[in-house]
Amino acid sequence: MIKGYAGKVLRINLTNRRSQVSPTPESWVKEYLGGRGFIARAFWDEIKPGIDPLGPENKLMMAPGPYSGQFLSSTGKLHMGCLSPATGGYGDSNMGGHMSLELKQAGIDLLILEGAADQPVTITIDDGNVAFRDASAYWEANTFDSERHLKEELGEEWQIMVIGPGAIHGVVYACIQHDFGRQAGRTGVGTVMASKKIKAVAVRGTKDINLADPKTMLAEGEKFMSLVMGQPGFREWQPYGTPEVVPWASKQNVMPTRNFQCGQIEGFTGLDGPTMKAKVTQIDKGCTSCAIPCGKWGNGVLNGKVKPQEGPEYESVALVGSNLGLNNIQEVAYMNGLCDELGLDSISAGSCVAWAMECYEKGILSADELGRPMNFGDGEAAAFMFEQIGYGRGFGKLLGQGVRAAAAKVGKGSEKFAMHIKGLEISGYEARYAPAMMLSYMTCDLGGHHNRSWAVTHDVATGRENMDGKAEKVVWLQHVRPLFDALGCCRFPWVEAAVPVETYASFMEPITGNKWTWDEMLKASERIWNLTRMIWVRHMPGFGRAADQPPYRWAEENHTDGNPNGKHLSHEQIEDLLNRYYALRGWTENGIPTPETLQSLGLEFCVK
Amino acid sequence: MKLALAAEKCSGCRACELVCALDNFSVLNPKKAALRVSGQFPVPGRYTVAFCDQCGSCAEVCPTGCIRQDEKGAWIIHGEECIGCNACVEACPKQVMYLHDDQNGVPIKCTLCGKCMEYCPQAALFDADGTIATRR
Amino acid sequence: MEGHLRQYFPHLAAPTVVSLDGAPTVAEILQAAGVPPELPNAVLCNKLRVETSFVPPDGAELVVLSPLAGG
Repeated sequence: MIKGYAGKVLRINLTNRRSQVSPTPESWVKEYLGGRGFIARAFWDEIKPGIDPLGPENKLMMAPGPYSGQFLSSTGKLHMGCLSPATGGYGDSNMGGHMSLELKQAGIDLLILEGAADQPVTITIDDGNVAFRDASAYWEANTFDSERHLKEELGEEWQIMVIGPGAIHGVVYACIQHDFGRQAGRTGVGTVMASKKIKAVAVRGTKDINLADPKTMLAEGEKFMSLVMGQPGFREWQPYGTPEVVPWASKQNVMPTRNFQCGQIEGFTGLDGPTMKAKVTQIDKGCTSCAIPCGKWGNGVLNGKVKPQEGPEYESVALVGSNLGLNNIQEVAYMNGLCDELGLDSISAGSCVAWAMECYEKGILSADELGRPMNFGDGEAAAFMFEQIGYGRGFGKLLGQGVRAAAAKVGKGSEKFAMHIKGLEISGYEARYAPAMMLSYMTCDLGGHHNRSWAVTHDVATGRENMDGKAEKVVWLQHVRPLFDALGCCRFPWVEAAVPVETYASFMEPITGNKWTWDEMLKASERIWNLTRMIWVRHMPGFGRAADQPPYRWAEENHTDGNPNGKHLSHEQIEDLLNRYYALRGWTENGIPTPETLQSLGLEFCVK
Repeated sequence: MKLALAAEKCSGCRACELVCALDNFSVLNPKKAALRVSGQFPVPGRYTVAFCDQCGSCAEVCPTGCIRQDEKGAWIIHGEECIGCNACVEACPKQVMYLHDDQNGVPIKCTLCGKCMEYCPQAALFDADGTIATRR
Repeated sequence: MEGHLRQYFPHLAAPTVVSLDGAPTVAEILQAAGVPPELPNAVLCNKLRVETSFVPPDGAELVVLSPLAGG
């Protein structure tokens, strides 16, 4: 067995309550690294086209990577994937905390959950031994109460992931929560967990992860931790976490405000890092081995009501803050805590509520239909609607199906401001006149998500009007950034602490014994990218260029304030970006990987 | 060298546990660390670290006398003389002597190697005597 | 200059001396070095964070920080 890995794939069938162990395929280690790579590869083999995402044939998969839990900064990431009930296509999400190392120490490189139980269950995995417990008593409990309950029942040393009321009530963007504030938030992984009647997965692992060269890894870890902590920016943003970037994002006019009607909210300094530190944060809360904890624990407050929570991080500040017209960080933290408690992806839930608010202000939906007046900037209205969504009540039942489905039902022009791509609500960056960021969103393999390629600085630094070099940048970022998801660690030491990214190639040899060059790692990431594209092609009849289009608001409406006022990318520019991107990738004009491209990446099995 | 804790600074990252086990056992396994981070959430919402303060209670109860103090002031278990009776584990007032299935009954105990103090990213664990400098 | 902005200003990857007459602001110094003043996330002057309207003392060391790059 290759060092640095646990060595086993654990498959748990909920229908017959049986589990099965097989060795981690060594060829997968060499071609897909781990984490996201294992999930994409297993997705292809395991999840067949035409199935119902919420049926027993869908599978929920979880995988740490070779860097998970290492003594390097920020190694707590666990990746998950399934056929997404939010989009109908490839879905994945990752979360921080301490679960990735625990799973590895329990002996698991890839966990496959399949079938569906007939009664609510909690799965316990104790050093690889699988057991089922009845979870009926706390099936409907919120995420915090559920995790607390299990910690008390099993022991504080267990690592636990739970779902909340949102998942149980069929919200298609429900998340999986862990460590009282870390979520695998996107694409409805929590919804799929609920469809299998799994309330929680609790893990305890005590086994060694043997390293090829532990002495070198200790020295590399010491060097890396010192490097991160010595960066000039460390003290500037570490105390504040990701809201540190709010003023910059606002000044660049990229911070979604009032359902992406503009890119900057008045009084945005009320949402910035120092304000959050002063008014919300009590302690830093870090994932495994993190020298730069972005997690901030503290109280959200709405009209005297207090909610302890972790965060909010930038995306939540944007989507349940400025995008709802809120500029008070305590209220935004309250919304974040509420979404966490309900087990809702704050990005998608925030976007759905913002859409409902715009519908109300435009007279498309009445207070009667919505259950109350829904004005932007009204924290009580937002909190009301998050609860309606989480508990499947009133208009919240429709909003829980995602903004695409809600707008299709309501109509009356509301589709024009339903902010999604491929059915996934867009995360926290306004991109209508930012070509590289726009292309990043259009071609993200989940739908409207930023983390595969974040290119706002690139657009501003090289000119928003300039189309040259944008597709190249996006392709490069789409290989580099998801590589971290395959390695099972966080990209913040690179994107925030400015550690040179190529440093990450040097740890493979002391961990696994196999030497990898940086270019080889990027090639693996390109392989994974093409594989996830082929999963979309396989699962969605007619999938292609049309699915890569931006929402109406970005394609047709100008920026109405700030810089760049009065602008958006033209149809010709958007099509030009796609043409260049597909050509660079070796895809057809319709955005489908050619057989030659697939063969050159070792993806022959994807060729029909 | 004297290990001390400013618990309000701890972020629960467990870098201390990882570097402890890596330095002392050459494996990635925080369950073999000689200290433990634990959090209580959502209330009161903070972390603490259980660690050895070298009180010597373990040595007092050891029937074979295999726990002896070194020049740094650390009480060290001489594993080859240990009979695995666990008297020290039960006597430890802070419950920071740990058993692991791989250890043939020899408890895991802090050796004052100093790595946790050096690499705690928050400087929550620190050397009260000031001989070990934090990398933060 | 620190972080991913460096790739756009390779001449600032290593410490660079910028000499200007009078009492220039941070914004003017950035402009003289070819950096649009609104682009960095923050500027440190002798290790302390300053606004771009700040006038650094003679011989001051400026560190230009990139924005956090979208987790």
